[in-house]
Amino acid sequence: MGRGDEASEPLIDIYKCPNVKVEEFSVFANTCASRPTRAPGHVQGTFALEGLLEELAAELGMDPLELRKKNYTTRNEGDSKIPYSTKGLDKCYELGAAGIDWQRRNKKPGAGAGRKRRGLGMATQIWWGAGVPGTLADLKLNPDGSVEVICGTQDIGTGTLTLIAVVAAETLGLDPQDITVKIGNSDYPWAPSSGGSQTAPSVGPAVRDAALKAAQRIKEVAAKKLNIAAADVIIADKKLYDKNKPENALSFKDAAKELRRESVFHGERKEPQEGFAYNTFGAHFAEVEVDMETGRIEVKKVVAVHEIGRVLNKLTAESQVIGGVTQGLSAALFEQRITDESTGTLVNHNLHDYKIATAKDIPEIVPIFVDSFDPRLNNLGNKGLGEPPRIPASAAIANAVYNAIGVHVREIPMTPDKVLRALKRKEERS
Amino acid sequence: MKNFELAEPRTLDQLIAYLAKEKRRVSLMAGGTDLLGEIKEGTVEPDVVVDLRTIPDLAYIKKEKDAVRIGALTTVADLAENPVIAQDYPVLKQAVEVIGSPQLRNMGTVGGNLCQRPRCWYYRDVDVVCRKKGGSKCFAYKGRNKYHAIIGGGMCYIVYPSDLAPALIALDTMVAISSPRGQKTIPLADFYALPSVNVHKENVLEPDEVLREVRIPPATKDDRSAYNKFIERGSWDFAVVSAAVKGTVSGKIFKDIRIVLGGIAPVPWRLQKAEEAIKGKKLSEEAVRVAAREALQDAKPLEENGYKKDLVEVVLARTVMSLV
Repeated sequence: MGRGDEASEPLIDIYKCPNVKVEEFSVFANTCASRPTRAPGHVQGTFALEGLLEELAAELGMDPLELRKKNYTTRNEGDSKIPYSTKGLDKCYELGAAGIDWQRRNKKPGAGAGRKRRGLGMATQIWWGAGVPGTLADLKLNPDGSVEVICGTQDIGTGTLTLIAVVAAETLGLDPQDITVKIGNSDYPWAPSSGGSQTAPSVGPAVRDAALKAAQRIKEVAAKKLNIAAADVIIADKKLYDKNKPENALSFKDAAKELRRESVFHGERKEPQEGFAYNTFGAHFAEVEVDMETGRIEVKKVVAVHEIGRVLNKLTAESQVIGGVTQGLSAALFEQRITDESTGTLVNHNLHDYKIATAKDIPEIVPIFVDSFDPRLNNLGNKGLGEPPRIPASAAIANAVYNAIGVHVREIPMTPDKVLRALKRKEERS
Repeated sequence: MKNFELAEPRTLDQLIAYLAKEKRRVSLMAGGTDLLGEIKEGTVEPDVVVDLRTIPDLAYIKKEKDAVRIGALTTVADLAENPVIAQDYPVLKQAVEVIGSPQLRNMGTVGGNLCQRPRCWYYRDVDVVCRKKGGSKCFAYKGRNKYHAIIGGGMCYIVYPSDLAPALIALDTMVAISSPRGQKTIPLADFYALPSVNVHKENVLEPDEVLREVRIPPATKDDRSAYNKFIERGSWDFAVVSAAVKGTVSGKIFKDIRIVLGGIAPVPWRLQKAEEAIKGKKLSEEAVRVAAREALQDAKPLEENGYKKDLVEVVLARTVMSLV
């Protein structure tokens, strides 16, 4: 059993269109168990919508990017109709088009010549990722100057440990390696499950809240020692010092010693400001080369631009994007469940027959962030990034293939047999 | 997984003597890259696994006057790195370089590659009792068959997955076989047999016979050869279609040519009709494509694998034209 999981959501939300009607239904089949993965529903819905727009643009003789810009909206077009608090999608379009050199695309799909043809394509992404208010984190400041952050979240490989250390360290003027992070235990303060791109915008602000409280407390202690007002204390570079006289300083360690015992600060992720919609946005731009005789597609480059509010850690954020694009590419070109219809069994249930991308299939991937800040959302102004990079990659690659060969394959994975079939369809039509 | 005994003969004579008397189900293991997967999944259930690696002197590459002799236990990686192979047999060098992955090439052997079992997903599924495993039908025939045979099927639509076999057959390679009845040498082309001969196996080896050595005839200076393997992704895959071509060329014309295809039939598939059409003629890509098309006129693709016919044309045309 598997469910579509709101595959129509992007169709309702992304573009300004007064008359949208979607119907969604699940088909229950007597086959192997299945569940959607990373951005359930949106990957599929985006593939359909963005492919449709690409074909529409060609019919209209329009630049597909211009078509999207023409239908740009700054408010949620779905149920709420309220404005987005921040929407950096226009900036994503601009940076992505520059990154892939968009004007190189075939003005008419399939206009190139020769055995191997290049094409450019793009696709838009919308997703949630505002995080969960009520998330808790504790910060423990010990008299030896060591700092522990404790939170009932988990790191599923997405860099939660890093982001917690980075947020606490930056708030307290320390280095990330000075912070001991304790997670992965349900006895710890409550955090939501690791899904829905919600960990960073839930846990990050809770940690920030706890760390701000700790900073305030240790500033007060230092102020007394330095004989100045707490408001005049700067906390940075593992020191606390007088903003008017920086040499009047106390090390973080010595200040912590003054506390004489461990102190625990409770942090909480607060509610965002009402009346606004909080979403993440992105746009992927892909370049492909298609062998017209074998139907084999090679992805040459993907420029992946995302607006997720403030980026907490560049390394892990870029890593998320590279992973998402890799998954999207793998789905676009290789991955499929092949079911024998007479027995209902999956015939390719191993990693030899269920093909995933190999290192040799991965092109240059350029992650770019519209590094903005959404103060209405939370105290860090950050949104989630777990799922967004997975959403538009397959669609952008499929649209690039369309731009290269002049016919949309309309189905993933775009294996050579399907590409050859699509080319034959095109030949028969003309 | 069923338990098995492990036998470790120390000499080839010991092995042959053992095979003469052992009546239980025996699997010979060289690199184990294929066999161990089969045992773990339960596709085969041997009573005894004979580890051939305990026999010394079965891994070698020797250039002699009448042939280059390659021991069955030579690893694919050693073959890939051998200067004689690179110099004399480009088709072989190109074939070994695209086998599996570096890890598989390090473990896999020449003999093992030539004796590997088919990758058909129905054959490999322990819950499916297909004709090859003693059942009464080929599940691929009306099932999911995009990777299956377009020619030579009938009883069973597996494709033979080896990259080495088409390359070596194109080079007119002989194989030496040892058994309690002595030694014999046969062309590798005759080593493989269609399902109509015996649906349960892919070659003519009897249970007490061992493939010991391959012998490639010496290269001549007019020889040209190439291997071209089409796979769906960048690496680590079996051929959807592959073409091994070897011939002698003079002035852009093939004086003689051998074409062997992989990935399309239950055995490496010699395309003699196309050879005849190409030999002695001035060539163009289109002419080779037509030759391939006509040579495959008897092909009977199944519902999902008709695209392989198109791929044969392209892959063969590119391979042949790269040599003139």
